[in-house]
Amino acid sequence: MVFALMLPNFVAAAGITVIASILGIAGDIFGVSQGSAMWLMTGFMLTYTSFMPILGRLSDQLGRKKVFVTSIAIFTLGLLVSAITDNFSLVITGRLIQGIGAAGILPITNAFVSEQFPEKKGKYLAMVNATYGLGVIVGVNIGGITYDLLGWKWMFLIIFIASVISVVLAETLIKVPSQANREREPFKVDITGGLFFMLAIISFLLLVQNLSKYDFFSLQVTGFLLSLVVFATLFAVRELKIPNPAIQLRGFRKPGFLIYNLLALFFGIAMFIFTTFFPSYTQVLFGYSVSQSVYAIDPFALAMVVFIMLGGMIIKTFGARTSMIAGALLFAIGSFVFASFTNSELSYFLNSLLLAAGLGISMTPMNYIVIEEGGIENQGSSAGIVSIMRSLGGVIGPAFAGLMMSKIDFSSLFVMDSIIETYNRIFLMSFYSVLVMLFLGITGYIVNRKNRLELEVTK
Amino acid sequence: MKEKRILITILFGLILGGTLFAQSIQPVVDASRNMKTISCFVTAINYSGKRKSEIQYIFSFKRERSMMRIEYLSPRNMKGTKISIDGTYFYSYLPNLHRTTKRKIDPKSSKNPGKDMGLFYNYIKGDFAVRINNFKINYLGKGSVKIKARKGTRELEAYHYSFENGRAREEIWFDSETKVAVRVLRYNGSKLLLQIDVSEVRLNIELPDSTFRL
Repeated sequence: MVFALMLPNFVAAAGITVIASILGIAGDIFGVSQGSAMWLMTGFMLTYTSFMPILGRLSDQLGRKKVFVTSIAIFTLGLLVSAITDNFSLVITGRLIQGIGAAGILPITNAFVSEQFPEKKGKYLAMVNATYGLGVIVGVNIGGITYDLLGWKWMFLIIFIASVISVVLAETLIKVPSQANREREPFKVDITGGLFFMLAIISFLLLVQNLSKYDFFSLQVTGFLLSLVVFATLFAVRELKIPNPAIQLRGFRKPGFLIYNLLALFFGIAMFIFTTFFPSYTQVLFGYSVSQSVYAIDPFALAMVVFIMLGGMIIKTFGARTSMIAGALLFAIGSFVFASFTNSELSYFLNSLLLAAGLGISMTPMNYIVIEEGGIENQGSSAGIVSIMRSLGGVIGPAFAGLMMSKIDFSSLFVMDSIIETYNRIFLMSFYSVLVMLFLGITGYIVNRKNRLELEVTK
Repeated sequence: MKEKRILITILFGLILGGTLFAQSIQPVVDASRNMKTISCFVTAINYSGKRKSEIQYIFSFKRERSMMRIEYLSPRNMKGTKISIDGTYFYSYLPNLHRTTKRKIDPKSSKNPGKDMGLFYNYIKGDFAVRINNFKINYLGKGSVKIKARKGTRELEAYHYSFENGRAREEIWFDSETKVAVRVLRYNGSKLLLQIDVSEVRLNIELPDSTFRL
């Protein structure tokens, strides 16, 4: 059963990054502009982030297994759509469908293991995160190798085959006890709220995209800024008002829940910046080819998987909140050292290992605390919310990094120096994001300690 | 005694004449004016960033419509990178990123390629005479200078000038034969920002327009 839970998680994570190695040349491959080609990633992240709250709630109401298996099936369908066409718009449509499916797989796996293995939650959450991390890296590798050997269609087809196996295994092997598979609240999903949420994200993405081309006070920028504010407000007002919201915003009234979800947002910003920009960074810094750059991130990714497991193990000894602070501190040191002192292949590998340690150790305690803060009855939606916040970071961080990349002076004689300096600034942005994360981790620790003391006094 | 005076006068005249000739920037201005195309090998060292970085490229320029092409040969992460201007568009190709860009040239923009080469760019572009009017020019002497070349260094005789405009200062060595700038040092105050060494110079050769498109 554990394998049947982890495999889809692994495959979905691989599905996110399978196209990462060709992002730089996707415009040439599909005969479209490079800006349009970026929708291979942006499109996925858009539906992935937007549908997470809806599918998280759906799994709370309809039962985890039903939504989990359906999500894998949707993900599989999306892969097939992308693989069988030569039309770029259809490839993107497939990526949008894949995003919807992945939105149901990843957070529900977290909720599933929290429910099924409450006593060993830390260990199993670590396993989920480790398979996710492993999937991310295997996705980059498989994508690069498959593209070189068989072409871009097989990048989707290989994941498709693995995904078909996942559906079959999940359907047959996952046995949900009657308690966990109980009939939940009547089926009610806030589609309108989900739509507002998606429109707010689309507005944000187009706002940042237009910032690279137009002045801040231009219609193209202010228009999308306005629509972002409008849709975000509509979403928040609606979610606080209705009984079955897409995202339980009321949960954010709990200081601990709010703090650790904000922490997840800043974690997402930092993590996605590093994982998205690592391959191209080694390409510009060391002159690596696409496949060399893919292999170059392997030590980082494998170390991350090991440290994710370690993060899960130390929760039992030191507690989740202390482990979180330790991880964030290590992440802050790692990101600063990486951004400031990476100038050779050796320093790149050593610094990326330090970074992987911080990133890995932080990940599991973060998910653990949010699920705990959300309360036992909301494990599904809490797991969904923390994944949404992390993914929102994945939308915000790379979007701003892309904006910084668009400001590079390509007319300079030392254009590579300009590019490398921009990368370093982007990685420094990550460092600042981790500093905020560290601050939130300490604040969360203090708030929790205060609450516990008050509780003891009351008793 | 009279012969000795004549000899001293002639000698003094020769020294004075030679000095006057050498101090005059006019032969350099004339050489710049007569240049139509140039192809050369350039080593440029950037001292302004966090760390020193060195690049090598083949530089081609056609004065008609200010057409330019730069093909990077080193370092490893820039090898194969190409930049060109066909008079209307700016093209760049970064092989590592598989990225090709094409945009219209804005003549007013300070971000057009070549401008960071300072007076060397003005020399090849043809507005050197106008541009140096903004500078205080000092002749620093004639002597041999070792230029970084494709393989090792190359020594040649050159006229050494400095051009100052406030904190901006450039030292340029002009080849005594061709009067082409063979070394440029750009400073901000006393801080060295950029060094450009030019070798394998070929002047006024045929460069078809297609050279300047990617």
